Amino acid sequence: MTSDLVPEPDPQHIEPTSVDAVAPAAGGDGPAVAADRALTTDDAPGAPIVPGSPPAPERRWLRRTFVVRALGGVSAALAAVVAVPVAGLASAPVGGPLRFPLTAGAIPPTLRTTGFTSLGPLESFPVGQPTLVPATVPVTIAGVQQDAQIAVYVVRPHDQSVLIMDIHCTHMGCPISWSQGAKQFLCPCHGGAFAQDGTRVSGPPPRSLDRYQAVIANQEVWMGPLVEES
Amino acid sequence: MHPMSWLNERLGVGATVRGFLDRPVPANIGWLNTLGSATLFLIIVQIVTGIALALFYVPSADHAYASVQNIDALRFGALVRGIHHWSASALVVLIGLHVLRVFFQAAYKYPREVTWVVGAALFAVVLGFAFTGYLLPWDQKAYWATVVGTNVAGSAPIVGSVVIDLLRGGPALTTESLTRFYGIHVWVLPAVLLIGVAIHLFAVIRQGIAAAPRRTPLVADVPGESQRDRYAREYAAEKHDGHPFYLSLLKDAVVSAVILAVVVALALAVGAPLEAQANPNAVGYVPRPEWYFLDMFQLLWYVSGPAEPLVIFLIGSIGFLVFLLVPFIDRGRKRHPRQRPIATALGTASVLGVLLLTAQGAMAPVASTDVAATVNASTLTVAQQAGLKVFQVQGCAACHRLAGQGGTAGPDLTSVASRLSAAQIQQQITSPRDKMPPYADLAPGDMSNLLDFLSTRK
Repeated sequence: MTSDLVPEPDPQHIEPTSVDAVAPAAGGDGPAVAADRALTTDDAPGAPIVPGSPPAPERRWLRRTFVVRALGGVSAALAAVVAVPVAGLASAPVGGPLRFPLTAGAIPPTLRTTGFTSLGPLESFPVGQPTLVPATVPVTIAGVQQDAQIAVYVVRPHDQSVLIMDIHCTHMGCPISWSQGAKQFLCPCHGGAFAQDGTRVSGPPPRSLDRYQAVIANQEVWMGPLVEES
Repeated sequence: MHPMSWLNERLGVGATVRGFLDRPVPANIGWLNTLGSATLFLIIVQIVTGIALALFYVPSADHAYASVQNIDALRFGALVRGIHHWSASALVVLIGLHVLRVFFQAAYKYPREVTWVVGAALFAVVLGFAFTGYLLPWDQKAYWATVVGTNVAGSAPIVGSVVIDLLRGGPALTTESLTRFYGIHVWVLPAVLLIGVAIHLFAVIRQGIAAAPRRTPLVADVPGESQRDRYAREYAAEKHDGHPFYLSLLKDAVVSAVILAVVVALALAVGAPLEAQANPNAVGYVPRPEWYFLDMFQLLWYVSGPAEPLVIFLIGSIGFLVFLLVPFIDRGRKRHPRQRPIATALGTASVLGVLLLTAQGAMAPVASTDVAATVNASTLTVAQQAGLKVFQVQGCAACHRLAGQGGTAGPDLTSVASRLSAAQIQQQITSPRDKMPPYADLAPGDMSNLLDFLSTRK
């Protein structure tokens, strides 16, 4: 357009100096374009790749395009053969359904235990004062059965009832602790508070504390699988 | 024959190296342009010290902590781990400053858009390194910060539980999580980092170093000229008045040397921290993220309710997308910060926001809710002292600050009596109108003592 009226040197046609060949400025695609043309006409010096009379430039261009695309297809196939099992193994631990409600909120429960584990004799848990109990429970991770160290709060609201509470705040998983004065479980991270039975009292947690099934048998407290919310 | 000549006869790179060192760069690039090379320098330091640590580290929940203790006991072990620890923090600072320099100088504009996008992705990779490396010592701080960190990621809508499983290698933070974090930290991220750095540096060399923006450009406008042609003319003029690249390298070397001196000094004087071994049963432990994640941790204070995961997810993903695509959003030709008032204002606001959240997160109290230690009890009556005890026993300090101690979930009570009457305070305690839990069961004597004490807080 106006470049016809104003004779400015076109950067595309500046001869590349040794410096520009290393670090050309924008518009420095000149050499690259030239190189590409050299390849498309395939008149590069040196011994001919294919013996005999060289095919016409147009045919050469077609052949090269075909070979390059075929190589791309082969590479993709090779990559897929390796990538599918690798991605499959790496994602082996993924289990459980997607949670679709956008605001379902908060973290999934920390541990899905299997079977029942004794936490000790019933009389070792005072009524009205939650007790922190370390426990070794069987869990299944990535399909492998193993033991996990966890801690739970055992709560005896009344003489013959027992609740087993996960110690992780349902907001972001910080460890809650029982405050005997406030009669609440308090979270040190963002001020979540839960009542003795695990119900959410205040703060950001979206739901009550996670609970495990609790059974009293032979005067012992047994901890079972996580109680899944419906 | 000189060895270098011998090598050059075989490799033939002498001309390339000389061209690289001698190429003209704009004269007005200065100390701010050393931030990128300092970032690269710290990445190299991290790779080298990380390899040394990997010779001794055992990625297993049973042995990780002991192997880190062992490293600290070895000759130079504590120093190397200290350098790795402090250099990680320095890297986050340097890459952040580098991003800010490029943003405020608008050096991401044509023809350097790809350089920016790859660099922004590298920023995320560096944060990924920080996040995964943090768990490896398997101490309390590492464990609980990662519990919270993975939960934040896992609270994302729809894909949250999958993200948690992928990050932790299962629902809980166990030895599977440790091997996973280790694998990501020493194999996956370095591969991504090296590819990204290669593309980034190639683009930097290919396009040359951007000149610092001028309010009055070196070349005059030509009517009808395309942006491409105009840029080429302007950059050629900048390089015409420029100096050879090797002179800039002197500044780079000075800055890297100063940073390394600071990192080594911190490694020697402070060292890399190591708390007690991770204990998943540690009730009462207060998780704290490392400083560069404090802003996000603090953000969780302000966003709550059923939409919290959605809001956090949207802030995070939209924020990162905008960051990644800056060159395609800010498309004007002007580069000087004063000629881009909107970009400059938004950038400044973002920086201030991050600084503010980080500062608030840093100042939020840790476990120190020992209000009694800071209140001058000698000026209190017996009843008021009993009230202070009630305040302490009831755990009020978990949420309320008083005399500089306590939580920040609720209002600061240091001068509560100047705002509220005793009756109003009692009303708030027994039947709160906001998210505070009601303390209606407080014994009448305790209540009156507590009110008596709080009434002295003016």
